[in-house]
Amino acid sequence: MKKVMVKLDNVKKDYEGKKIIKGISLDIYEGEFLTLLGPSGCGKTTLLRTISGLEKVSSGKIYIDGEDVTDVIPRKREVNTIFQNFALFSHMTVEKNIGFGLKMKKVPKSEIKTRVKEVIELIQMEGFEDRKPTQLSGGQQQRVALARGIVNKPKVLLLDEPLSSLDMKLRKQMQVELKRIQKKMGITFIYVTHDQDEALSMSDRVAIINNGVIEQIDTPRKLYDAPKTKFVADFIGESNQFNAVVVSTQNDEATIKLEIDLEIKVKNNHYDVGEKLTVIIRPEQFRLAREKDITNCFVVKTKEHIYSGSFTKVLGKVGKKEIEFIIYNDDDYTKNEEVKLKFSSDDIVILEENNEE
Amino acid sequence: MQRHKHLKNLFIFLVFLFLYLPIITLIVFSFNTSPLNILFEGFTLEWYGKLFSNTTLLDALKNTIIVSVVSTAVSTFIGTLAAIGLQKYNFIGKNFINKLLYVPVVIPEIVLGISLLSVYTLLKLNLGLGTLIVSHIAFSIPFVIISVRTVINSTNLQIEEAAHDLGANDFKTLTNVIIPEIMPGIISGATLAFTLSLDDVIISYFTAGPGSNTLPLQIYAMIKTGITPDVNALTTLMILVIMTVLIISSLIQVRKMKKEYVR
Amino acid sequence: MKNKSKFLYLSPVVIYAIVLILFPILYILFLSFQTNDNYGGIIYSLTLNNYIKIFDIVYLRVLFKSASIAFITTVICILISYPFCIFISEKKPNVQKILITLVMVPFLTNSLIRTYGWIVLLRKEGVFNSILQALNICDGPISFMYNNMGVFIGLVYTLLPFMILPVYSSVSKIDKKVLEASEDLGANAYHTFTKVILPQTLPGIFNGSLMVFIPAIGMFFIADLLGGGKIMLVGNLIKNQFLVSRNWPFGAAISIFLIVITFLLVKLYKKTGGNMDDLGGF
Repeated sequence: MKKVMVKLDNVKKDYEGKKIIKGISLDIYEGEFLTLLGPSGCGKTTLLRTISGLEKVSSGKIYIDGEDVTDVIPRKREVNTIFQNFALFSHMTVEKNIGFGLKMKKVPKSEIKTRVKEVIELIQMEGFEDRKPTQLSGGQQQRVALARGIVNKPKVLLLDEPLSSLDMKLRKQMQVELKRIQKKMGITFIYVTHDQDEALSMSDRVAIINNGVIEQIDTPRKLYDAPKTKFVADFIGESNQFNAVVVSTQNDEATIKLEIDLEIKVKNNHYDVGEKLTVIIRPEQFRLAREKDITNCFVVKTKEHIYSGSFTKVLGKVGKKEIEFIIYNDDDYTKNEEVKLKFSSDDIVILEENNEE
Repeated sequence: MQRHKHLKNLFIFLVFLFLYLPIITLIVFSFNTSPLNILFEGFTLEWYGKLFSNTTLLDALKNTIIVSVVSTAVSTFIGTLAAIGLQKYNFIGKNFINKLLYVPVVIPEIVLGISLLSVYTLLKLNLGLGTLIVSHIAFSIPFVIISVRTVINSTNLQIEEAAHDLGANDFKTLTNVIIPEIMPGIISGATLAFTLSLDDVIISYFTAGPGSNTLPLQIYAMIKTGITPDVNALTTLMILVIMTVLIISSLIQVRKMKKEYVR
Repeated sequence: MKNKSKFLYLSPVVIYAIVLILFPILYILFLSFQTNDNYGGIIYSLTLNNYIKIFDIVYLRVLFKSASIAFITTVICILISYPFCIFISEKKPNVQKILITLVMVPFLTNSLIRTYGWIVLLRKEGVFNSILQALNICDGPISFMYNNMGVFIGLVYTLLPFMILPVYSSVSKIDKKVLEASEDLGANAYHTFTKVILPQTLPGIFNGSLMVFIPAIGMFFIADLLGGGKIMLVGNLIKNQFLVSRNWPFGAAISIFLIVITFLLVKLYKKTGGNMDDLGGF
C-alpha cells in the first residue's frame, strides 16, 4: 500500500460569500505527480494554496505526512511552492535565491553551499550563480524558481502553473525537465494547470476540477478512455456527445435511440427502458463503413476537411447535429459529400443520467 | 529629424544657461576681491576663510543639516512603513487617508505653513527646531509614500508569499526580502525628502522660531540687510558637495550597469 | 498577530495624516469663521465676513493679478519646456539621461540662494547692467527687477524644472514607431504633431501646469525679493495677514479659498485622466 503524503478531508473555501471550493477530499501518495486540471476560476489554484497554507480553509482538514496542518502557518509546513510568475527575489543572486529557504531554517553556511551547488548542477545552471534574476531568460528563471523549492527537500512541492509564461517550445522542454527532476528527487509534486496536454503528458494521476469540486481523479489514460462525466469527456480531448434514450433491452444488448433519430445497439448495463443516457464517441473512434446495411451506422454530410499530417479532421452534420471525426490519411478515402461511419460499441462511453448532478 | 540641428542645440544650450546662470554667478563672485558682488576685480580665497568665523551662518548651516537629516530619516521610516501597509491592508477610512496624503503635495506650501503655525500657536508650542522638524516631516512623508508606492506597484507581490513559503517569518520577510526589493523607491523617496527639506523656504519661514534659523531663512534676512560674499563661498561649497555626491552616485550606477551588461 | 503588524505599519501614517494634515486644515477652516480683535487675537464668533472681504475690490485685484502672473508663468514654462524636451528626446538615450540630470542639479541648491544669484545679475548695479554699460549699449541702467519682469524671471526660473520633468517623461514615452507610422500613413508634420504627438503629451503638460500654477500663487519670497514688495501675490497677502497685520481669520479665509481652488484644479486634472501619483514623483 502506498503511503498517503497529503490528505484533504472535505476541504471547503468561501471567499466573500462565494463558494470557491465546495468540499474536496483527496489522497495524494508519496512520490506521486498529481495534477489539478481545470478551467480558469475552477478553484484549482485556491486548493493548491490551502495546501501551502497561503490560503486558510473555511472548513475541512488538511494532513501532510499524517500530521494535521490545517492551522499551521505556511513557513512551518514542509511544503514549498513554485509560483506562476516565479516570484524570484530580484535583488538576490541565483545562489542567494536558491539558498534563501535554507538560510531561514538556519542551516549551517557550509551545508547551504553544498546543497545549493547540488541543485544548481541538477537544474544545469552551473556558471550562473552570481547573476541576478533580471539577467536570466524565462526558462532559466523557471529553473531557479524550481531549484529554490527543491533545495529544501520539501515533502511536497506545489507548482502553480509554473510553465504558463514560457513559450511553446520551452514549455515542452521544461515538461521533460520537470518530470526528470521529480523522478530523481522522489518528491511528491502537486501541479496546477489549465493545459490538458501538460497534465496528460507529465502526471501519474490527474484530478479534473470544475466549479469547486473534483469531477474525476484518474490516470491520464483512464480519463481519456473512461470519462465519468460529460464535463470530463468534453474537457479532455475532443468528443461527440449525444443524448439518448433506451428503447429496448435484451439480455446483454440494449437498443438506444440517439437524439439524431438513429437507433444503435450497445452493451446492456442494467438499463431500464426509457432511461436517459449520454453517448460519448471520440472523433478517432469512428471508422469508415464500407459494408452495406450495418447497425450503428452514421450517415454524415461533410462540411470541412482539415488536413493535419497523418490524419484529416472532418467536420460534418448528421441531421442538425454537428459531429467531427478523423480519417487516417493512409485510409483509402476521397473527399465525399456524404460518408458512412461505424464504431465499435466496445470503445464508446455511455454515461447514465444519474452520474450527472 | 536632423533638420535645424544647430538651432535645436542652441536652444538647449540657452535653457541650460538660464538654469545655471545664477549659480555660476555666485561661484564666480565667491572668488572676487571686491565685497560688492558687482564687478569681478580679482581672485581671492578670503571669503572662504571668513566663512569659518561667521558663526551666524555656520549655525544656520548646522540647523539646516539637523532639520534635513532628522526629518528625512523620520519621514522615510514612516513613509516606507505606510506605503507597505497601505498596499497590504484594508481598513475603514483607508480611502480618506489616501486622499489626505495628497493634500501636502498639491496645496500651496504657504497654506500648509500657516496651518501648522496656527496649530503650534493653539497648542502653545514654542517655535524652534522641534516645530521646524515636525513641519518638514509633515510635507515630506507623502512624497516618500508616493516614491515607495511606485516601486511596490511594479514589484511582483508574490515574493512576500514566496518568502513565507520558504520559511521566513514576518520580520525576516520584511528585512530580507521586501525592504531590499523596494530599496530603489526608498532611496529616491529619501533623496526627495532631503532635497525638499534643504530647498524649503516657505514652510520654514512660518514654523521656525528664534534660534532655529536655517540657511534659507538666514539668507532671506541677509538679502534684505546686505549679503556678505562669504555666503557666496558657502553656496559654492554646497554646490561642490552636491555635485560630488551626484557624480559619485552616477559613476556607481554606470559601473553597476556595465557590470550587468558584460554578461 | 496579523492585527499587531497591521497596527505597526499603519498607525504612524494614520496619526500623521490626522494630526499634521486634517487637523491643521480643519483648524484653519474654523479660524476663517472667527473675528479678528485687532491685537492679533481672535474673538470667537461665527461669521462669513472674512469670506465676504475677499470679494472686496482691493483683494479681488490681488487675486486677479496673482492668478494672471501664475498663468503667464505657466505658459512661459510650457513654451520653454515643450521644445526643450522634444529636442532632448531626439538625442541618444545616454545623453538624454545626463541632460535631464543636469536639469535637476540646480534644483538641489536652495531656491532662495538661486534667487539671490538672480539679484546679483539683475539689480541696477548688477552684472547685466554693468556689462550693458561697459559695452555702451545703453546709457542708464535698465530695471530688470523690482517690477513684473523680475517676478516672472524668478518664478519661471524656480518652477521650470517642475514643467520640464513631467513633459519630458510624456515626450519620451512616445513610441518613435508611431511617428513613423503616422508619416507612413501620409500625415504631414503638422498633422503628426496635432493628432499624434500633442494628444500623447497633454497629460504631461497638464501635470506640469498644475505643478507650476499652484506654487506660483504662493511664492511670496520671489515677489518680495525680485518684485521689491511692489507686487502682491496671494502668497504675500496671506503672509501679511499672519505676520504683519495679524488678522489670522482673514488669512485663514484666503487660505481656505486657495485650497478650494486647488481642489477644483486637481479635479480637472483627474478628469483629464491625470494620475495623482505623477504629481509627487520626480
